[in-house]
Amino acid sequence: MSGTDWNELERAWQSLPSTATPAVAEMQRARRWQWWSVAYLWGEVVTAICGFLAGGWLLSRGDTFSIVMGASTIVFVAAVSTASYWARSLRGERVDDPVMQTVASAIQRVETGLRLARATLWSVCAGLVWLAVLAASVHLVGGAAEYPRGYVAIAVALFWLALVLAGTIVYQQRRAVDLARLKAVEAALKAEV
Amino acid sequence: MTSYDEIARAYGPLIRRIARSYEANGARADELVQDIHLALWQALPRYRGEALVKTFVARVAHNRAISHVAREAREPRAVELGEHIPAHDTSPEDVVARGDLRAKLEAAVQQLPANLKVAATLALEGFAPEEVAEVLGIGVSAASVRLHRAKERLKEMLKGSVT
Repeated sequence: MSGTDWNELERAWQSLPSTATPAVAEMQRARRWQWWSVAYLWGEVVTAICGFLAGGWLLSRGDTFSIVMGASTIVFVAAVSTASYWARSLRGERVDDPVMQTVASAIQRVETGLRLARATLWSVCAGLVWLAVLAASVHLVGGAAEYPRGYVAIAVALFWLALVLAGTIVYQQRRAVDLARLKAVEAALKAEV
Repeated sequence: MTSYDEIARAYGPLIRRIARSYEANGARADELVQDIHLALWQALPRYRGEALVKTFVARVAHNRAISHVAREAREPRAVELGEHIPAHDTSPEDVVARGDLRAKLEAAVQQLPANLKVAATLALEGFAPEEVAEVLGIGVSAASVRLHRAKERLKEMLKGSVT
């Protein structure tokens, strides 16, 4: 194509009508979301502190059951806080990165999410084993008569694990679909010209 | 020029044209334009002048547009990245009959596959190969090849329309 032809196309292209309307409503919503995400983060911090304090209080009670519950609470809160911190430290989306890098980063984030989901599923399995051991311990030290709240705590924990399991499976399925789409996008952009 | 208002005024038309190259449907193109402006506004605080403003804007616009099309692929519609995008508002026959170079050009760009679409829109906006390479994150020689192929493809598609 001659330079004159291409110049004509450039002129035609750049003469396309445009209405540049800044997304005012979306920006206001984004500002509100930022406030809520900061509030959510502080909520996580406060919950973690309460968890550590509760674990410490249980440890201070001295009886075997309280020591086991206290230690496991502290371990659980520490593990969840570490995972949350790690997830937040992952490089967030940079929409101003070069196009190929943005797509590659998006794929990396999804793959990391899937690895986290697999780790969560293993953690749920470990949690179920631990609960079984705890139930056996409660039974051996006298069961419901001696530790009436023991079985209630186990039931609550089982319910919580079931919720986490269901949520993780749904999350895994959605992210697997996202990964397939992103890889298709990457392939389309990398296709031989 | 680093305030959002200044950038929106100066590059609003470029953003709109890039959005239209990915989205033939008018209403969805408007949504995409809004999405790009929002992304630009959110990304601007991180901009330190390491790239030209128009390169920064083009990256944001193309990244958002590609995400938009990839997201829309969840729903059954005619748009897939890598396939041609049929015009929603006018048929190809109407476009040809009108003999409108501008409309034909827009329709042709919408039909380009993703790997050529980005290069074509940037070339039509007057980006040099080095700037196209910066937007895409590829080498200058690879960007030059894509620019050349994109121009050839457009020429083929618009044969007879350019005097």
